[in-house]
Amino acid sequence: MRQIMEGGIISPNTHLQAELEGLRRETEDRVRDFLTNNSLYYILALIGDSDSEGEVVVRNRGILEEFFDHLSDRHLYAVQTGGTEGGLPQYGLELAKEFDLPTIGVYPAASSKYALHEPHHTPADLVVETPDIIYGKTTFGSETPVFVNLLDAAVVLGGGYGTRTEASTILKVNKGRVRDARTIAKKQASGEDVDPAKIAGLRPPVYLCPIEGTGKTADELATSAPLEDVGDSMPDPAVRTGEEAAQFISSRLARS
Amino acid sequence: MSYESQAEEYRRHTEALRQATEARVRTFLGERSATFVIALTGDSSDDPLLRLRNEHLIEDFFSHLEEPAQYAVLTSGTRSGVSYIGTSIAKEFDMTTIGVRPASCGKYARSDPPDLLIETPDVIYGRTTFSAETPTFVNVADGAVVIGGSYGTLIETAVMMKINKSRHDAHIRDPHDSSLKKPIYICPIAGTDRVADLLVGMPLYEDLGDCFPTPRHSVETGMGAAAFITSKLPPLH
Repeated sequence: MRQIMEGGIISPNTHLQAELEGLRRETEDRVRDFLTNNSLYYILALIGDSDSEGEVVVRNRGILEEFFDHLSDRHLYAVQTGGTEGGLPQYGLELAKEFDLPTIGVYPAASSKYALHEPHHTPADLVVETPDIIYGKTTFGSETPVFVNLLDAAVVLGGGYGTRTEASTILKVNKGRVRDARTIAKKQASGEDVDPAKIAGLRPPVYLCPIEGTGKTADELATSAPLEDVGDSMPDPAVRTGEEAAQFISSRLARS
Repeated sequence: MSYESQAEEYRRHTEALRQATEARVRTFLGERSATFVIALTGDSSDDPLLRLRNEHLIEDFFSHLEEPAQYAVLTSGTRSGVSYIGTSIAKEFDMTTIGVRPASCGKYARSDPPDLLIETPDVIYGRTTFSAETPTFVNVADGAVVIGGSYGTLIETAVMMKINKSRHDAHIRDPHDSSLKKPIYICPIAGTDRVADLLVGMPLYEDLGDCFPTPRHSVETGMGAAAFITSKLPPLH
């Protein structure tokens, strides 16, 4: 396997790109089949705190139980986390299973030793392992672009730098989607022809619901103004309870 | 071929690309006697006033670096904002330039490419957009100067801080292990708004060691950024 290293360019060669394209199609098929076979419409991520015990866990579990209790058409949702041991990725999935919701775990293949495995844990129903990066050590965080591409919505409870990476990636995606929708709406309003493929390609933002009062990244997101126009992808005013988060997510997704 | 075998095969080939990329970057830096890689990250806007301010900051930064030739300048290699002017001014200073971007985002590339361009593979689900290259971009950097910036910059700096947390933890566990990697030194320029000012003002959740200037708001000029970077990543004499 040789890659293109001509002059000053390092690039995946055509063979690797073809191989990747095959893997991407296969991954998308697997996700589609999983959603179809379970009659699911939405993928909802739980992101945030990595604490595995203590008051934070008790509080977050309480918020999530209330959230799932109040989520309209709950049977239409799959719940996604990192699918790994410890913190919200673990107890978020366990709680989703208690509510009979199908689960998805996304993590770097290089970190698979941290995944929820039997016999000690119940693994996610669908696992997506992301490939290594092409320079340096592949660590948690490298899966973020794929993690975010899968989503329709996300709830944020506390969370450190990994959570900030995920939330910022969601907001970057939303900025692009909101801009595209506004550009097309403006053209349509002025009677300009718009390529139907572009209209078909529009996607709603990933609804991002930080729960204020849970600390760190969630509080940063809930209390500071967005850096860019991200439309109505975040609650305004901020939400503070699982019930309010459920109302926000249910109403936005039902509309989209 | 099963999905698992397909994934394993791809992983094996990516590993070959990783090894080759690392070897190529090492050789490239060696040939040019560049010791450190400094990322310039921030505003992507081409607003004329912002551009003037950022040009001045970057020129001030490069002109106060001791032995600038020992620092390679890393950007996304695109044709707007800090990325564009950073690479252009680095070329004027005869500094080595490196770009990292997703292979499928070539349409945003500047017409005169950086001296070395690393194109990262697509993601395995959904559309590949800018930020897919961030894990690679961040791993190439020894230090970073942050000027304003939006969500892309926020992602890059968050990944740097996550990496710095684990490097700092490793250092605390074994302070005498000289093989441990140093943190990525992050220098937000205070007063340049948005992400740079967020980094200056926000509370740190965890101990990241000395990866920021102390105090964090102390660097307001290119000269200050050069002093910080030079103190943490001193040139070889």
